[in-house]
Amino acid sequence: MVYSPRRSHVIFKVHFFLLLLTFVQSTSVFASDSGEWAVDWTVESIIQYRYFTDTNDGDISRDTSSIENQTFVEQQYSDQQQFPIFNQRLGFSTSDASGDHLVTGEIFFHYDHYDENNRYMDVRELDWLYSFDDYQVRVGVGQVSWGANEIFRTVDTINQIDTQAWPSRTKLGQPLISFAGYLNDNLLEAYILLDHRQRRYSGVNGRLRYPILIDEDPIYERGATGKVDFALRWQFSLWGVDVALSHFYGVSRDPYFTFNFDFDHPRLVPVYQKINQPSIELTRDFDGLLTKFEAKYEMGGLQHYFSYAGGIEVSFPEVVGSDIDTTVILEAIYDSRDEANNNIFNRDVALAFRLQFNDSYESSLLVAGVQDYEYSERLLLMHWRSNPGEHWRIDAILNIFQSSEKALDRTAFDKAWDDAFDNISSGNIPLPISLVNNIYASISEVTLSRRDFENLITFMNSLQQPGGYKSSYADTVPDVLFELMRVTDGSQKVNLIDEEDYFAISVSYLF
Amino acid sequence: MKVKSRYWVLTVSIAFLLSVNVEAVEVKSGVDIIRRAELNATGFKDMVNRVTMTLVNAEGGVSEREMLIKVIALDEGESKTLTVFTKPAREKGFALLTHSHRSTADDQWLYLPASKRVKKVASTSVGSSFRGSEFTYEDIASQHRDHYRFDFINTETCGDRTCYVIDRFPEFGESSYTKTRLYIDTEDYLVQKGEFFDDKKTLFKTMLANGYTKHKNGIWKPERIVMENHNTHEKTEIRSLELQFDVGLSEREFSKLSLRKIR
Repeated sequence: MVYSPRRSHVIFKVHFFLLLLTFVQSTSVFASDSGEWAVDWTVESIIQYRYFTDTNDGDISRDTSSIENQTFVEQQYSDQQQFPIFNQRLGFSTSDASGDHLVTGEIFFHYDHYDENNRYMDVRELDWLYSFDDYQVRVGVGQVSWGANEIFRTVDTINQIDTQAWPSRTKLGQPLISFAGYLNDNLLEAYILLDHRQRRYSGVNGRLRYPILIDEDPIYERGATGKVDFALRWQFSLWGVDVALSHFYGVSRDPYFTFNFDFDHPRLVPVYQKINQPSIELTRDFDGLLTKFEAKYEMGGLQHYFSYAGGIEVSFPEVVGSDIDTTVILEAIYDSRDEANNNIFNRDVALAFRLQFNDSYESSLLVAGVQDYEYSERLLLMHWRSNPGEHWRIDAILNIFQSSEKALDRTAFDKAWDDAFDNISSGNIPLPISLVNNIYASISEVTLSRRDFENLITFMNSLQQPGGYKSSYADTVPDVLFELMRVTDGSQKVNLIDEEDYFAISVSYLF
Repeated sequence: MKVKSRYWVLTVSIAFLLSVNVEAVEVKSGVDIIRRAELNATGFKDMVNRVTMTLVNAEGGVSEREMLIKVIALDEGESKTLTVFTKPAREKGFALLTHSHRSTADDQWLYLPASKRVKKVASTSVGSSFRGSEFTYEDIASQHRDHYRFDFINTETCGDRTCYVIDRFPEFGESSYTKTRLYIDTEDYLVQKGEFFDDKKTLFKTMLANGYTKHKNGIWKPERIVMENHNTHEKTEIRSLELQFDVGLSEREFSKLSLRKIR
């Protein structure tokens, strides 16, 4: 009670400094003596240069493009190759003398020089943590990490992932109130989650994206509890196994996509629906073989699917007499979803080597290969990290996508649409049923969601109404729908991004 | 059977005769010297040690870290240890939680502050470098006597003292050393030197402890421990800055939940 006036004073000071630092690029060193409500600052600046090795203009779907659908063609891919990116991280933490009251904050800025969709500020953390006895209460914006795996993190749900941070798994802040405590050896947690964060997708000038842009205005199916979500978690140990059982009831962090059927402004619309998601995580050390498994079952309005992933991790200290510690990780995932979503890893096996060089720069190298076991698709990822001196850090990342799946054939597809449009433009409406069936047959291989299929039927009907057909459709409709087919076809996941290989170098300075 | 019991009687009677100097009898057995040496390091309820860890590479380049080590002693020689990095800024908040068990391998968890993640450490990584230092996770964890076999070798001079030389072999569980040779002085039973042997049974690391002081509770702690790697010619020095005993830590400060309080 005695501290109250002083505390509010300091909190005010914290806010003031945050505001000040937001606008002024400060370069001074922030350090403070440990004491009551002394503020500990972290300021980090990161400059990243991403270079895409291909301009992405060799795409087959462009051959049929004409002047009319130039807008869509231009939007299909960005041929920008160089992406300068700037990040600024600003963090602080402070506590009372006992450490029972902790206030932590971290603000993150991301500036992409070319992609205006990827310029944002995120409050990753701004929370108050109060600990008493065996319990903790947390209020504010926080980070929560679930899951046992290193690569396929299927269970980690609470925070939205920051797609721009790939390959590191950085997440956006989640407003929450949480309570955690021990009941004997059981760690029990309850979360109330206030609203959720949308996943961020590359814009028209961005790279590593679908040929159809993602709509910035998603569809929500929030259900009974609206913007409030809930989660429960129970962790315990049994026969040497670390077990975590969780249940999440809330808006999915991982949306599925539906097509807007607007051919002048084609967009994939993310659908966030209220889901029930029970999950389990298991970790056990079998004489040095760390074995992990995690699984979830998601029940939503449209989607019911399960996803499970597991693997092993084993360490080889000081391999062949060197000073290098090596960790080998082998993981596999099975995800039962077929509809369009943003995950390229659904039926894959990954093998990763993490090398710790134990030099004075604390250098490390991660080499990971991911192979799809359903289709002939693979990804190679390399990440080098080095810390020259106390302040500097250098990261080098190489990402190579490769697919030997055959690209989809447009012939039958184009013929079906050409026939339909010829008939419509010559006034032969309603269309003969055989032609309509040809169109449905041409996309029958594609797993459209029920929502998309209904929209397609509506669109086909609207075409046959007076004024429902525009001459520009003859070009745009087959082009756009063909891309939609590619997006929804599992075998084309990596084909779509086959030319998106890139390397990135980032330099960070921690003040 | 008869011989054995007679031998036992003999041992007992000698022990009785020489009860004024118990240690003299124990010289015959490595584990007894270890037991005696352990008395120098045990007997506290909890301990908080603020240390610096200095990494010196072969070219003489230096990088420094600061850590806060908290230990709580439990029954049967079991213990829980929490090591938290406090400096430099890059390492800050990184923590290692160890639950040392008497008859099973230790449980270790890493706390990764950037992702707020608690990650179990594979027991094969006990031999991995602890944050780039010459110390391994195994060295940092408390090493329970029951996990090893001890062979008494001989007595040698070590510096200005005389030392018992004892070879320690891992008996079960994971260890990155095939053998550790310990030099324990005959006067105060303090570990003065350790020599670590790799898979090829060649010496590759040497540890020196010095600046021992005896604290009020009878516990001896070195002020400085240096581990030198003879393959890489790199060195790591751990120096104690501030040491406190029995500050009243509770076991709950060594739980997975408590890791979230680390900043």
